[in-house]
Amino acid sequence: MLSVETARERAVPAARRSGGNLWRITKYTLVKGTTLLITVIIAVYLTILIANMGGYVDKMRESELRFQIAEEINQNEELRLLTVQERKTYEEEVFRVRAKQLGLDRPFIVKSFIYLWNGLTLNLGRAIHLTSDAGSAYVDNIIGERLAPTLLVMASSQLLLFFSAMFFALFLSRRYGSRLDRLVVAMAPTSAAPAWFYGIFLIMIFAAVLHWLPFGGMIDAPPPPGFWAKVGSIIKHLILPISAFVASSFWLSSYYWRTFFLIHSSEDYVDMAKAKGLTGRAIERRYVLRPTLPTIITSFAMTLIGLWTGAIVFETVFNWPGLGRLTQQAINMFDTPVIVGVTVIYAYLLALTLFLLDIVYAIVDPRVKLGGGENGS
Amino acid sequence: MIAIMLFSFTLGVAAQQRMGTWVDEVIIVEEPDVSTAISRLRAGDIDVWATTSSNATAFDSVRNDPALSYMTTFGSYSELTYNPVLKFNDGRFNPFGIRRIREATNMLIDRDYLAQEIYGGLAVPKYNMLNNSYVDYSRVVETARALEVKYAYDFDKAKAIIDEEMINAGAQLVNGVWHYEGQPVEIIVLARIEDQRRQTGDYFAQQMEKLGFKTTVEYRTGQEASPIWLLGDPAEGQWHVYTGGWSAGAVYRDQGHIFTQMYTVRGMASPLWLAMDPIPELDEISEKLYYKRFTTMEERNALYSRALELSLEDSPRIFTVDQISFIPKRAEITVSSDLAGGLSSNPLWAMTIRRRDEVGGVVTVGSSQVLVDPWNPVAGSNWTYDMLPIRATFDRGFVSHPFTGNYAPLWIDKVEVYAVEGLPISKQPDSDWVTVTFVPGVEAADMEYLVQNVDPDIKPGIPVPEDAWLYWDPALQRFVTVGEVYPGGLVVPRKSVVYYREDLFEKVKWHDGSPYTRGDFLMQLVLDWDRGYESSPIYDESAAANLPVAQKNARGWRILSWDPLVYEVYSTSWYMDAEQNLGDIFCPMYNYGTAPWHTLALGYLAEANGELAFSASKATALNVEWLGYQAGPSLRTLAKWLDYALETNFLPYAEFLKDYIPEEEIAARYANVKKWFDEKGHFWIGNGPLYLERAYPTIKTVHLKRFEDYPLPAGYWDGFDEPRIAEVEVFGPARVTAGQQAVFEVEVSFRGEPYPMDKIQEVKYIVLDAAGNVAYNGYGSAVADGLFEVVLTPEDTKQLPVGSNTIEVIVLPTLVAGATFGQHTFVTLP
Repeated sequence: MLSVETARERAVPAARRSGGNLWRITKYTLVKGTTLLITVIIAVYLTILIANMGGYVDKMRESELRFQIAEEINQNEELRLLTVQERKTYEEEVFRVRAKQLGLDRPFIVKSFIYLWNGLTLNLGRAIHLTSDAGSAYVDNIIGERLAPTLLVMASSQLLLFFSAMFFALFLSRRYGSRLDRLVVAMAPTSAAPAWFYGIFLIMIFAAVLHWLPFGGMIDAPPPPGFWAKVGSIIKHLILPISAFVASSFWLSSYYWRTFFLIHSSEDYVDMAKAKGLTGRAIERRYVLRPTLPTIITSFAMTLIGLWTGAIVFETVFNWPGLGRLTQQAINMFDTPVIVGVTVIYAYLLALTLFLLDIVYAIVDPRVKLGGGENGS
Repeated sequence: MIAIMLFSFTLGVAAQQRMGTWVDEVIIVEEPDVSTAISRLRAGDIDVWATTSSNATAFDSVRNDPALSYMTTFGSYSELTYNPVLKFNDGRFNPFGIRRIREATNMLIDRDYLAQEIYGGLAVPKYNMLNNSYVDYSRVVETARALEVKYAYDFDKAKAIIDEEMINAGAQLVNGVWHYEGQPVEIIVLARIEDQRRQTGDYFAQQMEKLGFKTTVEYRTGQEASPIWLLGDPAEGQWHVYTGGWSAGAVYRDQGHIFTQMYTVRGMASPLWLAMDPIPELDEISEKLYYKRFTTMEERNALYSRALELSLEDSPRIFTVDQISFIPKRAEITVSSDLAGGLSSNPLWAMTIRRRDEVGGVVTVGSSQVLVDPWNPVAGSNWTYDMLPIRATFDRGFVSHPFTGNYAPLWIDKVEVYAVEGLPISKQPDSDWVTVTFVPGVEAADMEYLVQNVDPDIKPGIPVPEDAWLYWDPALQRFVTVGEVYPGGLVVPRKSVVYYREDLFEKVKWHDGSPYTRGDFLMQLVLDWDRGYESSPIYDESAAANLPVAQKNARGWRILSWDPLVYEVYSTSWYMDAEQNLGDIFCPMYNYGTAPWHTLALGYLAEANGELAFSASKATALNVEWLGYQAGPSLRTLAKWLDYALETNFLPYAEFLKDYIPEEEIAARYANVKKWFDEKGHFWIGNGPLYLERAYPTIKTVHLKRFEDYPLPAGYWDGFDEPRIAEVEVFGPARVTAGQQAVFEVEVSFRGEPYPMDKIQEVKYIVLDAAGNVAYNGYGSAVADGLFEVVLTPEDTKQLPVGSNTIEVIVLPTLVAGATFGQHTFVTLP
């Protein structure tokens, strides 16, 4: 799809080229859009199939429900008075009502397409088991409620990590082989441990032993009165998760970007710029950062949409009420509408990002042209 | 010294004047992980972790930390369920289809090994479905102990029986592997993976392999496994053994139903249960115990003992261990916890929680989940996690004793129980609030139902007055009477007259300041019935399923006096403990909490107008929110209907309730709730010792505060902070000569202090011979507080076999349901 503009193309008359461009962009948009939509449909339907274990979850629910009803009868002195036949009738009636509530009155294959259609049209509907923390059964409320806490902790952590690591790496790339550079190389393997692992240690040190910071959660319980007191409390609760996140990935990210910049700094055109006597900052801006912008933007965009999913273990360790924990709960409870809701929004965001990235590449990099792959070569 | 005296005096005065809870505030926060919870307890970040755990490592760390302590619960137990089909559809042979093989497996497993090694000491061996902390175990303890000895671990004996039965069935041992019709006999163990049942499955498979069976262990979560063992056709042979587990939410007083539930086809509408083929005698006894077809406790104990024996002979499932769970807390915190259900099922936790000897302050309670589902008293959340705060916010007429499972009065003053002659109902000696009177029954037209459900020998019953209310009729907008439905008369085996405290209406207040009135219980009673009728504006299909059963079981009730409140209730069901034969109209909607009539009215309006629904199923059907009074999207709708109610002085079921709720009360109630909502921002209003200050859904925190107008003093439930489980030691001669008298002393104490004599129900003993058989049994006699004596007469000792013998003493206190055991071994000389 993407190609470097060729000399032959540049030779095409302007008017003809303008009409051709429009067609090419329209065609590109249609093909790309259709491809992405099909990908999203397949991904979401696969998610539905996997989340429901191919329909086995319905059987699990049915057996749980029957067991639960039988237990209720056995524990109820009045219901124990029923005769065997009465009991059977009662059990079946209660089962029928509750099965309907759980959607067990319809075959899974039918439900799977309903889930798919509802998901694709963003009509997320009601959860099966989960309710939002405030008590709402609507999936958009359930997800919406967890979005803000996830964005708060993940965006703070990811953005801090992204920018600090990138600028530090740029700084390092100018000091290749220095003591600091060697330190970064040496520390990079420490990122093998995930953020939640660092989190446990930080909690042990700063919460359990020193009692300086809270064990987890998003705010003091109960929340302090007053806006600024609340803000202060949230910041206090953010310190450990953000620190854990940054501590786990800072060295590796810095190492990655530093190597990336080093490679680009050794290109011929950078040497040429140096030979022309341009300042280091100008070289960095025009000859290192500019050509690497597509990669940086891609990485940044992926970081942004990655915020959506939260982080299951990380949020669990810090008892953070985010989307990661919600996803885990939904998976554990086989709550398909919630799983579909989280997945389909992520899929749409991913598809949209990929689509937009192509356009952004064309804007930031003059070598790149939309839909040039087929005609241009 | 003076300072200490002054402090104690001040504390004493404060305690005297203080009403309601010892603490000022309780904050419930979410903490899902036991290890983190223990770290937080150490750091003082939380004071109690209200969730139970069976993690042995965590338990050790709590036990070894002087800053921490713990409470224990005994509600969970594990077992092995067998597939009872002898030949599967594909022709495979299933050894567990043979009764004697199933029975022999009781001796194949070393329960001590399971308890000590696999459960890390947090379990005790279990041979039958009775928990030895519950009353029924104590009632048949001699049989239970004898069976424990009979089925103790004996691999060789088990092997011999299984070998014999396999050969009888036509199987052959080829190269150490059992074969049937040329194919190796394979055992599929379906092992649950969530807890120690995974290792139990492995252990059982190893034992079976030692016998020559080929085994496969399939590991599954409970959810994954249930369609296979519970819903699947056992004849398909997808499994042979399933590592099951059960739990109890309260200390059971009567487990008469348990044999039917565990061993008969009537236990559950599941293919597995339908495949059961119980010993006919067991089946028959199970039914008798289930429907309480006995007339004396002696008869019941005999039936129960026999059923126990037969259940082990039948063994479609064998029991492995009773798990011990713990609730960690800081050492200075005292709080009452139910022996079976822990903190969340104990309504006394709020009134008993405190820092030792401290008045006031804040206590933070951790819970693995907080604010799971919406709270509403009609059909809201009944998660144990939600019940923890909910139970602190309302009272019942009585409380369930956390250590004995029996009832104790709270707002009920006294109960008169009238039972037909022949029903084995009795009361505890110290229950001076209950009287039992046996009356001769009379014949009536509706005898068939009575005969079917009660012992056929008890044909006559107590007549129900014609004017007693039976059930709600939405068309008439009133309760129909017994005379209208049963013109030929109605008789029941039991009636109870319940007297509430004289100061009930004067003292009990709702959290919004409204006094408790008769409208509060009448509204709940009407609402409960009305939801089941299709013509009702709040018709709910889930309630309709219960309606025919409830109508059929209804036997009538009458208000005898409105103030003081006295009512009588007629019932076909009865309980062996007289204390449990009561009906409580003070709090009819116990399962989900309770609420005053005026907040229920707001929910009624919201549901009747299709905007909210009390039950989850109706909310799903209407695609509206499930009604929650504590927080969330329901509050906006309820606030809207509050304005409407204020404007119109709305009274639900006005045609009926107007006779009981005056106009001025209606206006005052809505004004109170309006003020409450403006201040607190929610509609969860109860009458318990704590009120909901605010629920914080997203950060999973519940903030409860002391209700200053609560009418009972702090310390009302003192003594309920710790179960008085007796410690027993037996002293006696090391040598006993046959034909000579032997005297044994039994010391019973609690925390080193002698156990009061009047708090000991009985002291039994059994003498076991060297082979572990019960030689004989009898009762000890009281000498003084904490001291009992067991005398073996010359005639008794004459019967003893020469050699080593053991006397086992079983002490049954009245303060806890479970027995405590002590033993002494001696040598019998000729």
